[in-house]
Amino acid sequence: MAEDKQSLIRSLISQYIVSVDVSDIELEASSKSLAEYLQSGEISLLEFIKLLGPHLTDDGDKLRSSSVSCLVDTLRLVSPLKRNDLSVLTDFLLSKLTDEPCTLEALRGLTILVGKPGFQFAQVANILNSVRDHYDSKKHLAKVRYWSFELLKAILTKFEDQLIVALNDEFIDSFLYISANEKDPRNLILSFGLNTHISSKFDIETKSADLFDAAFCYFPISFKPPANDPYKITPEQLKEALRSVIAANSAFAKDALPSLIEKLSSTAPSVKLDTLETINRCVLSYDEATIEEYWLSVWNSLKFEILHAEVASVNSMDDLIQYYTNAENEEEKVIPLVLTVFKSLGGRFSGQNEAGLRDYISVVVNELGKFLTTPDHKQAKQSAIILSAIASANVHVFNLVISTSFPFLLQALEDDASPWTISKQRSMITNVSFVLDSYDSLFTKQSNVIDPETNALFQYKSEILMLLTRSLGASLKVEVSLRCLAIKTIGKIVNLKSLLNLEEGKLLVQSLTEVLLEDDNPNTFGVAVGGLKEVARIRPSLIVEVTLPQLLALLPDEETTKFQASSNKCIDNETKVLQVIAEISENKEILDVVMIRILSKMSVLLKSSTSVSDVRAILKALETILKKSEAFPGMSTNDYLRKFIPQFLYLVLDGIFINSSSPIYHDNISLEIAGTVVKVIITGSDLTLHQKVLDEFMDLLVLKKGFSLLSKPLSSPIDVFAKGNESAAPLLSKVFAATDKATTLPLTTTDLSDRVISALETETDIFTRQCYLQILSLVINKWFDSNDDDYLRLKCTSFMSTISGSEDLAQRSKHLELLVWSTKALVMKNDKYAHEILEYLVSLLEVPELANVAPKAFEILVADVECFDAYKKAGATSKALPFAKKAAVFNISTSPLYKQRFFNTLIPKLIAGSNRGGDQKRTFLITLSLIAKYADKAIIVPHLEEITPLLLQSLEIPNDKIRSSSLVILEIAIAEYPALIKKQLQTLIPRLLDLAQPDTHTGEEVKINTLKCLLGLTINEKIGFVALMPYKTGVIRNLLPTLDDKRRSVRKMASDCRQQYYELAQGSES
Amino acid sequence: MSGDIINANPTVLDVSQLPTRREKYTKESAKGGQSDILLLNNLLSLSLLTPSGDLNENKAGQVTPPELTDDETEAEEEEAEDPIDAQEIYDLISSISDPEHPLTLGQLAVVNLNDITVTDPRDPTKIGEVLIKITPTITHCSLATLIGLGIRVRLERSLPPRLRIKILLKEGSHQSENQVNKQLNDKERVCAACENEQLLKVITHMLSTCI
Repeated sequence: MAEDKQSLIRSLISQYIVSVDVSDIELEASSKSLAEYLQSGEISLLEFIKLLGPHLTDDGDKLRSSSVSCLVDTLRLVSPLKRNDLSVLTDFLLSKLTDEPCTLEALRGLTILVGKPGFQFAQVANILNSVRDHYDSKKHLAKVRYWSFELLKAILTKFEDQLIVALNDEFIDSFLYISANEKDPRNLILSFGLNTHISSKFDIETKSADLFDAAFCYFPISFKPPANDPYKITPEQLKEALRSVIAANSAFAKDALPSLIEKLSSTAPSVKLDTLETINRCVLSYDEATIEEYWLSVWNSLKFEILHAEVASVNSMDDLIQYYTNAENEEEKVIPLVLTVFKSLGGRFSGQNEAGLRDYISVVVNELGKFLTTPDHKQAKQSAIILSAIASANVHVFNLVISTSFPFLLQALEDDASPWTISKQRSMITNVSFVLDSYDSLFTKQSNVIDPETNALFQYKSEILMLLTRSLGASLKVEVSLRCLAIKTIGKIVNLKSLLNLEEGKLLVQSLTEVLLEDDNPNTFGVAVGGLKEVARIRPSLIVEVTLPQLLALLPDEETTKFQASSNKCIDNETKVLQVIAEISENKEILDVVMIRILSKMSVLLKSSTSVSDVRAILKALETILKKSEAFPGMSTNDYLRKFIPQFLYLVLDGIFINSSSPIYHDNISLEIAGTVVKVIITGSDLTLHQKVLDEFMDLLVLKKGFSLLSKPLSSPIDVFAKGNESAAPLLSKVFAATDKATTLPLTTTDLSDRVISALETETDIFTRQCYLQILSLVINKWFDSNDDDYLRLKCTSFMSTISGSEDLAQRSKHLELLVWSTKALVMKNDKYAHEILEYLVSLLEVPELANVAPKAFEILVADVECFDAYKKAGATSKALPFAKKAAVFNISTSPLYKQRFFNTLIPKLIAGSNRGGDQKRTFLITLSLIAKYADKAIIVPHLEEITPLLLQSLEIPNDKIRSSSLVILEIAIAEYPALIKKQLQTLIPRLLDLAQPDTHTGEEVKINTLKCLLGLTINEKIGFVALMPYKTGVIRNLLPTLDDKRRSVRKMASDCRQQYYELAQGSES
Repeated sequence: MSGDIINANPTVLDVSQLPTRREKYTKESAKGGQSDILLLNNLLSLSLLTPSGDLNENKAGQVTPPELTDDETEAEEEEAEDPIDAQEIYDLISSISDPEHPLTLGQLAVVNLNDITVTDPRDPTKIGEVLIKITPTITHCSLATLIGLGIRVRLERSLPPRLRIKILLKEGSHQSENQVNKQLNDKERVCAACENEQLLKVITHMLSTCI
C-alpha cells in the first residue's frame, strides 16, 4: 500500500478518534470515507486493522474504546464481508467483551456483524457462551446493557428457527442471564419484547418458571417518565410490554393467575386496573385447557367487584360502560374491566368444548339466579349486568346465557306468593332491559345472523312484551318512574333488529302513542316522545302507520275544521301537537308523509275562519321539521321542489295577496316563515336545479311572466317592487339568499338594483325596507362583477353626497342605510372598494348630527344576518379552492377571514377616536361596544389590552344594549387577560356591583352578564384569591339586595356569585 | 370525618327523577305570540329608522332615525316578576352534598319538594318565611344537625334577609326530633357553630357542589 494512502487512512482514523464525543457529523463523515476505501478494495480489511492496531491495544481506555468504535462504525457501512473476515472479527470483538471500556462497542459490533449477510449460525453458540461467561451486566451502564439486548434480538431475528432446534436452552439461559436485574425502561421494553418472543415460540417447558419470574418480578410496573426523556417511553408502553410477556404462554398460567388474583387485593386503584387488564390479556391468549382450569378462580375472585358495587343508575350497558370508563375516580374504572374479563371468559370456549362453556355458564347463572328471582334484591341489577356482559361474547354464549337465565329473570312474573309491587316491576324491567343490550350488541351492532328458530330470546319474547305492556297499561299514571322505565324499554326492544314482527311492533308503538295522547304527566309525556323518536329513527314505518295518523287526526280536517281537543293537557292545542310531530319526524320517510299531510291541513285551515296564529303555527312546524331535516344523512329536498312548493306557494300567496277573507291576508310574519320554508327546500336541493328555480321565482315575483311555479295561476300577477305587492319582498330575499351564486339573473344586475333602490326611495314600512335592503345587498354580493364597478361607485358616491350634504336627517339616514347595506355585501367579499367606504363611515362618527345613527351602521356591517347564512355543498364553485372536492359555500360570496380583516382595520381607528376625547368620544365608544360582540374570541383577544379600559368607561353609558355587549367582552378579558384585569380591580368591582343592584334600571341580561364577570374573577386562578380578598366582604354585602331581584335567573346567579366569594380563601387552602 | 359510616347503604334516587322546573311542554304555547314578535324584532333591530307614531303627518318624515342612546326606553316595559317558590328553594338546597356519601341531598331524598313551604308576602317591608322539613336517611342519623346547618348556611347566603328560614325534621323521621329542631333554629347556637373552623370546613365541602 502506498505511503500516502496509509497516511490518509491514518489521518481519517485519528480524525474519527478525536471527534468521539465531540461531533457526530465528523464521526459519520470519517467512518464513511474509511468504509468507501474498504468497499472499493483500495485497502484491505487486514491493512485497515493493522493501521488501527496500535490504538486497539493502547493503554488509554478512551483511546482503545474509540478505536473499537471506529472499527465498528466502519464495518457497519461495509458490505458484504468475507465469511472468514466475519469469523475473525467476531472472535476479536468477543475477546473485547471483558475489556470493560470497550464492552459497549464490542456488543454493538457483534450486533452489526450478526446482521451481515454471510454470518454463520455456527458462530452463534460461541457468542452466546461468551456473553454468559465474559459479560457481566452488573458492571455496566444502561446504555451498554442496551446493546446486549440488541445483540440477542438480532440473533433471534435472524436465526429463530435454527435456535429453536439447536440452541433452545442456551439462548433462553443467555437471555435470562443478561436480563437479570434490569431497571432501565428502554432496556425493559426490549427485554419484555424478547421474553414475549421466546415464551411464545421456544420450548420453555423446563424454563417456564424462570422466564415468568424474569418478567413478573416487575409487576405491577410503575414508571414516571423524567422530564425531556430522550426515548419517550410511556408507562403505558411498559405495562403493555409486560402484559404481553405474562400472556405469552399458557405454561405461565399456574404462576400468573394466582399471583394476579392476589394483586387484586391491592388498595391502589391503578394497580388493580393494571392487574385486571393483564388478567383479561391472559384470558384472551391462554389456551382453552388452561382457561377451563382457571375460570372458576377468576370468576370467584372477581364477581364481588360487581356484585358489591353500587351501580350507577343508567339504563343501558353502553351508558354504564361509558359512565365508568370516563369516571374521574380510578376505583370506578374497575367495573367495565371486570365485565370485560367475564365476557372474554365466555368467548374463549370454542364449539368443541361445549361442556366447559356449559360449566361456566351454569355456575354463573346458578349463582346469580338466586338474586334475580327477587327482582328488587340488592344484587339483582348487578347480576343482570354481569349476565348481559357475558352474553354479548358471541351468539353461542348468548343463547346459552339467555336460555338458562331468563327462567330466573322472569320467575317473579308467575310467582303469586310474594306481592307484586311497583318496585319489583321496576327492577324486573331494569334487569331484563340490561340483558336485552347483549342482543343489541351482538345482532344489531355486530350484525350476526339472526335465526328465530335457534335464537333463545325469541322464546321469551311474549313474556317480555307482557311484562312491558302490563307495566304500562295496568299501572296508575302517578307511577311515573315505572311508566317512564317501561316506555324507555319499549323503545329499546322495538328497535332490536328482527326481534319483533310487524304486529308486535305496532302493538308496542300503539301503547306508546296512547301514553302520548292520554298521560298528562309532563315527565312521562316527555319520555314517551323520546321513545317514539328513538323508534322513528330506526323503524319509521311503524310511526307512519301507527302514531302519525292519530296525531294528525287531532288537527282540523275537511269535516270538522276544528282542533280535536285531547284530554291530555300536554297536547291540548295545535302548537303542541305540531311540536310532537316535529320531534318524531326523524327521517325522510316520515318527513314525506308529514309534509303532504300538513299541507292538506293547511289548505283546510286557510278556507276556514281560523286565527292567523293557527296558520303561523302550522308554517312554523313546517319550518322546524325542514330545518331539522338538514341534519339527516344524505338528505335531498329535490322532490319537494316539484311536489310541495307549487301547492304550498299557491296557498300562501293566494292567502296573502288575493283572498282578502283569508286569515293571513297581508300578514308579513306568515310570509316570512313561508319564505324560510322555501329557503330550506332550495338550499337542500341539487345546485343543478337552482337556475330553473331562480328563473321561475323571478318570472313570478319580478317579471310578471306567468305562474309556472304554482300549481294554479293566481288571479292577478305580483310585482315585488310595485305598490301593493311589496309584502312579497321577504319571499324574494329568501330565494336570493338560498340559490347558488353561479346562477345568472334573467335581467341585468344594474336594472334589478335600480328597481330596488327606487322602491326604497318611497317605501316607508320598516319591515319591507329591511327586505329590500337585503335583496340589494345579496344582489351586490352574489351577482355584481367587475363590469358593475362603475355603476356601484356612481351609486355609492351619490349616497355619500346625500349623507354629507342633505339637511333632512331622515333622508340622510335612508341613504346611509343604502350605503351600509351595499358596503356589507362588499365587506363580506373583502372587496377593495369596501375599505374606501369604511374610511368614509368612520369619518361620519365625528358628525354630531349623525351621532345616533352612525354607530348602528357599523353594527349592520358585521351583524350576522340570516340572509347571509352560508350553506355548503360539495361541488360548489369556490374561488379559494377551485379543484377541491370539499364542500364549499355556494349561496353567497364570502371570504373566510373577512371579519378578522374588518376588525383589525376598524378597531385601532375606533380606539384612536375614543382616546381623542371630546364630544365624539361617546360615539366611538358606543360603536366599539356595539360591534365587539360580533367578533370571535380569537379576533378580539389581541385587542383586549387597548379595549378593556374603554369598555369600563362604556359601562357608564346608560343603555342596556351597550352595557351588555361591553360586559360580554369584559368577561372574555377576565378569562384571557388576568394581568390587565388585576390592575383594574379597584375600578372594575365597584362598577360591576353598581350594575347588579336591583333598583338600578338595568335589564335582566345586563345583570346576568355583570354577575358572570364577578364570578369569572374568582374562577381565573391567575387573578387569584389574594387579589380578591380585599373585596370579599364588599361583594358579599353589596350583592345582598340582588338576592331579592325580580328575576329568578338573576337571583340564581347572585347566589352562585356570593357562594364563590364566601369560599374564596377556603378553596385555595387545600 | 370519622371512618365509621352511619348509613352505609342508603336508597338513591336517579337524578332524572328529581323534580325540576319543566317548561318545555307546559308553558311553550303561552309564548307562541311572543316568538312571532321576536321574529320581527330581530329583523327590525338592524334598521336605522324607526316608524314614527303619527302616520298621517308629513309623508317623508314617516320614518325617523332612532335615538340610540335613549335611556332604557324599552328595558323597563314589562319585566315579569318571578316569585320565590318552593322549586327555587329546592334547587338551592338539593344540590348540597351529603357529608358521608358522594351524593346530593336531593338524590338521597333528604330534602323533598313537597316538604318546602314558602310564605312570601311579596312586599320588601314584610317578613316572609321559608319552612323546610328534612328527612334524615335513618332515624338515628347523628348527622341530621350537620345537614340542617348546611342547609341553613346555604339559604342564609342565597336568600334575601326578609325571608326567615325555619328548618325542621319531618315528623317521626328522627329519634330526637325535638332536640334537633331546637338546635337548628336557635340563633345563638347556629352562630356559635359557624365559628367552629372544623365545622365550617365540612360545610364548605358540602356546599362545594352547589354551583
